[in-house]
Amino acid sequence: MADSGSKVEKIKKPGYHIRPKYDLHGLRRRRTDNSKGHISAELPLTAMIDLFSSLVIFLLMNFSATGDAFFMSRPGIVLPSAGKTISMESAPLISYQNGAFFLDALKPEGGQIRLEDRSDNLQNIVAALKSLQDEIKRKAPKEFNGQLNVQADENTQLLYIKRAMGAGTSAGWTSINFVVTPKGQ
Amino acid sequence: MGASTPGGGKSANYELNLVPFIDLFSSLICFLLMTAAWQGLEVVNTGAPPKSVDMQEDTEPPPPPPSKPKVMLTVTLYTDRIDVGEDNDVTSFRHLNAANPDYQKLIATLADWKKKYPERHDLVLATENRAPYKHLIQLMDIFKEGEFPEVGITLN
Repeated sequence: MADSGSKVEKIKKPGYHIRPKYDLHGLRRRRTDNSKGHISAELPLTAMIDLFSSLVIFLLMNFSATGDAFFMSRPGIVLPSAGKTISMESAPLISYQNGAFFLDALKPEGGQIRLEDRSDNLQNIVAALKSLQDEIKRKAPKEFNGQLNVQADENTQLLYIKRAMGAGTSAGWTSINFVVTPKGQ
Repeated sequence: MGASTPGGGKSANYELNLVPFIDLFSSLICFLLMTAAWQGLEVVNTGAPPKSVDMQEDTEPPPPPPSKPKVMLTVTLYTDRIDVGEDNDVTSFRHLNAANPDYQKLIATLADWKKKYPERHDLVLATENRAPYKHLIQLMDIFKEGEFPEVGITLN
């Protein structure tokens, strides 16, 4: 800006406009100037790579190409353990606990079936399984494989297991799988 | 990483560029976290592998009837004993301890059956209603180890 008078002011280079309350002039100068005390901070990445490698190995061991199977755990149930097992696949699940049978299943259109049945012949569960089978066959007939998962406490009397199996087979779900924990876990 | 040249003036102290590694690991960890199976549960299948409805409806000609009648191999689980039978020839094994049964005699019997009927993979398992579920699973395990994976469980 020039004054029309005798004095001519120089144009000033603008500095920092946004300043913290306590500006660290010295630090900024050392970081930006080409002086001897130049600060070149580097993040040590080796430890992070080590951590990532361990994490990747752990997750690869837990990898499942099919994802997590549908399962509803119930508190208080101790599953029996077995050595000769196969991986669990998503299927309707009949659970027995404290004198009641429960059916949990995923519907083909989305949504979930949750049902409790205390009757001896499990008529509600049989009806629900039949209706689910019809729905699956209507939507994708090839997807119905008749698999049914059964879970119960390891000390449950076999009478109740056989009731659950009977309900499944009478509704057309003939491939019964017992949910277990693999030995050694 | 780098090669050192003897007597050379150039510095051999190169730094590996770790940024692509971190990118790769980050993507991999996200993918694996999404697909990890956290439950760790498995199943014991009761018999033949499952068939889809279409496979069941495939009309294959039925196998010819066997020349001699098939021997019925049965195992019956009670709370205090196990009965094994070839047709009407039944032998009883007592559990030494009902809470922790001894299955050595059953394992030996299954090995005998395998020698006598090497082509057989099936047997019938009957159970007493009061027997605990874990004994059934233990028996299923033993049958599969004894190469009798097709187990029919009677529901009577």
